Amino acid sequence: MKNLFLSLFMLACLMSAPVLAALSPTDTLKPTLNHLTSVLSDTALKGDAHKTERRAKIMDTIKEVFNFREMSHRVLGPTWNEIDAAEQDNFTSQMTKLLENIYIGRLEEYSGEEIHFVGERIKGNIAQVSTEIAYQGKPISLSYIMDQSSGHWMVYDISIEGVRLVRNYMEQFRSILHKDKYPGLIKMIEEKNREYAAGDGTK
Amino acid sequence: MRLPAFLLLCLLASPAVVWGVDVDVDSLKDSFHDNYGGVVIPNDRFGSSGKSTVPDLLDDEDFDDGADAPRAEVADPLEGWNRLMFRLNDKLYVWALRPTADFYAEILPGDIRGCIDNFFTNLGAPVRLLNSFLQGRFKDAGTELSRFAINSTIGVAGLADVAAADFGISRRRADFGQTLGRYGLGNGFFICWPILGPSTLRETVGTVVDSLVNPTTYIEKSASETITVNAVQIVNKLSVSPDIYTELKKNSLDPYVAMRQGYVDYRRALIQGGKQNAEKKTP
Repeated sequence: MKNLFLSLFMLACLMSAPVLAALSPTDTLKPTLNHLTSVLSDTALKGDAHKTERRAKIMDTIKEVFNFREMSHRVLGPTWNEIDAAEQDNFTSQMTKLLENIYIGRLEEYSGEEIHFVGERIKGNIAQVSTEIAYQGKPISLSYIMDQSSGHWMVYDISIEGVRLVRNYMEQFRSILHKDKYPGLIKMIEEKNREYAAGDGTK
Repeated sequence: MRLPAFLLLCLLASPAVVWGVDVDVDSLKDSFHDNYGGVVIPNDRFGSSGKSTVPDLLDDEDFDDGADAPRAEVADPLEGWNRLMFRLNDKLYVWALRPTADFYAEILPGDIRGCIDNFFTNLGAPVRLLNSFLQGRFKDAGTELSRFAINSTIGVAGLADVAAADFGISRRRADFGQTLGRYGLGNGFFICWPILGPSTLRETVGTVVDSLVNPTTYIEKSASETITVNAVQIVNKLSVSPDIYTELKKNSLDPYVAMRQGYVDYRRALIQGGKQNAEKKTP
């Protein structure tokens, strides 16, 4: 009998592994967004005093499904392959910081609005999960663009009313890369991140 | 046509002021319905059956690892001139328009500004009705017709959006630029107009054609009255809109490219949404 339970348990383990791997984009995203809204609604984390702690928690949460390395790869285009591994790491961390500064500021305005999942679309190895959320009392559409390069579905771009965040930066970077090459670009990103840091300090 | 007259026409035609990314409050309010074909899908999952009318954002996505050379999203042969106009508009916005809108917002209560906004939006109904028809979105055309009828009567000449507030019928976005895009006409190239902001060749044609349908074109008599009406419209729109332009400037490394790309993406999503809505079989 004991053996039967054991083998059933083993069987269950074996079966759950492929189930986990086959999670749909929406099912992958949902728990993280739920977790995120609970962090954002946590009164113990509100206010400027808890800013560092709050931001760290938010970043830890969104890193579960936001693939910042893939975002960095895409945003840089072919230039990604022209820089060495150390530069790729540095670029990823600076880009993560930049997106954190832009995106988290927005997230912090969150005040308990419900996220509605309105659609999912899969095309080959990319997917789009569309949500709707109230912003200043009006519903706006927010879509997550995902791929499976990391082995499971992860977000590499977000779209707000059709305007794509990462692609927007990709276009900006392309024009900067054309003029100032990679060293010029990374300097500008670092400068921008310092601006945000200084701006936060004076608040 | 003389250039000032043309610009005036454009000014008349602008149903939404296109400062920065063209997301005004109305579009924020209604875009869910507009873009997604007025279908509110329940809050649970429905798999990837393709039933959704959410705009397809993946159609122009590369299926590789993103390492290919990215394509230019919109041709910009006039970039030098456009950047100059962008800077001019920026000064105009920062030094004149924004302070005026802020002052205006201070002296006029939000309710009244909302009414004025509703009034101009209601006058844009014929444009939306006609373009919904042209795009084969007959259901949306019917919706716009009933909205116009309700708001012009119970809504007291369009001052209140009773159709949305009490009947739950929200505005459908439709314009001639979208109609042209729906039938496959490309953007042409990007143009940054003085005062009017971002546009493309296709969208400019759309704006001019829509102006011919908009009643405000025919109501006004003198040029100064026309300018006044449009100034009120612009300032009022700014006073009820979130300050997206300032955000865009703060968050970008090249605000001009950010605005250009944002505008093109936003318009493409609108066209996509309208197209899917037209193709959707009515049950």
